[in-house]
Amino acid sequence: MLSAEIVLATFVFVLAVAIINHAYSRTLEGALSTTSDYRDVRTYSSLLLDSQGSQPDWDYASHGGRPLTLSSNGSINITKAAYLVALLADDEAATLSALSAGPYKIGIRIAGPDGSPVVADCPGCDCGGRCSVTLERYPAIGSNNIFTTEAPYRLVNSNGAGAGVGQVKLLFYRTYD
Amino acid sequence: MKNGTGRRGIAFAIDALFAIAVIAVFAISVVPAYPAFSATGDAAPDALSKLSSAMLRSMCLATASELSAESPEIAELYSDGNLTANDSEMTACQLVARLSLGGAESVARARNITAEAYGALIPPATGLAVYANDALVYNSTFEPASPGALHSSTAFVYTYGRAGVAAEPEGPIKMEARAWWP
Repeated sequence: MLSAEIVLATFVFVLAVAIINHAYSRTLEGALSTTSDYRDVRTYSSLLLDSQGSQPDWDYASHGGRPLTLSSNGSINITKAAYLVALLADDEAATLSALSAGPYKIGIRIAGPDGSPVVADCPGCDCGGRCSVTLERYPAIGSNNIFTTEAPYRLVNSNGAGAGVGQVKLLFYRTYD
Repeated sequence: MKNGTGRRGIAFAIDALFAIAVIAVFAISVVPAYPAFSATGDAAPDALSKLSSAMLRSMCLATASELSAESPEIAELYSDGNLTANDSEMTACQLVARLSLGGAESVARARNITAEAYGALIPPATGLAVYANDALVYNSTFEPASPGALHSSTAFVYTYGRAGVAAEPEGPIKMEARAWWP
């Protein structure tokens, strides 16, 4: 009888310590990173979608050290988006590093008015040998989506010609483990 | 010996109750704080800001000719001769602003153009409205008196006209896009 009580009390005590430790560490992580998460994803989102003025040019082959923006004078360049999607598909880690995206993974979806993802041309098959890329990509499962932004944007081709309007959706994920 | 066992039993029972109480306290006070971190609610005002500003900027950059494939109303303005090739640089902003200053039929055309070109692009569970000089042109859903969150972007537009659309250059016209969570 006594040994059963000892086992029960020990089990409850260990369980309590484990739960407290788990909850505290998650909460502490949240408290420390909530502000910076919000600020960081806003920064990355604005860099990709809301860049203003003349931006340094970049493509699939030469992106190192250049800001990987998708916007040109307020419009979303779907060829740049194709470069980014192709880069993420071919080497996600290097692309996120080039974006200085820290612990975040990025998802993107650019759809036309009919709701289907836009298929963008890559001049000279410059997207890793692809001549066109479907502008939809999500990171591997196992991440938590912490920020989503979507809005109608004017779309332009690589030559700056208008390509109508579309819904641009950007998602930021972060893994906690 | 029996008394000793009983006292130990009480001590262990108190210890167990104490542990359960500690779990309960943390479950109430600490664990609910975690969803507040992972939720995107904190980012909601920023998402609405991006929606309203992107909507207005897209309207003020996209030309009527670019949107004619998506908007039967614009195509009709072309086929009726109210818009011609000379208007190829007229933006959706300018066209909607100009039409919104006209009569009921003209305002209805402005509403149709906005709905046809942008209605399907508005994110789900989000409300969006476009105003010209504080008069409603288009709303995706009824704008509640007290929305969960609201963000507004404004631009001033100068427009020009042609026969059937407008007679004289006019402006500035205040164009406003409002986005909200219902």
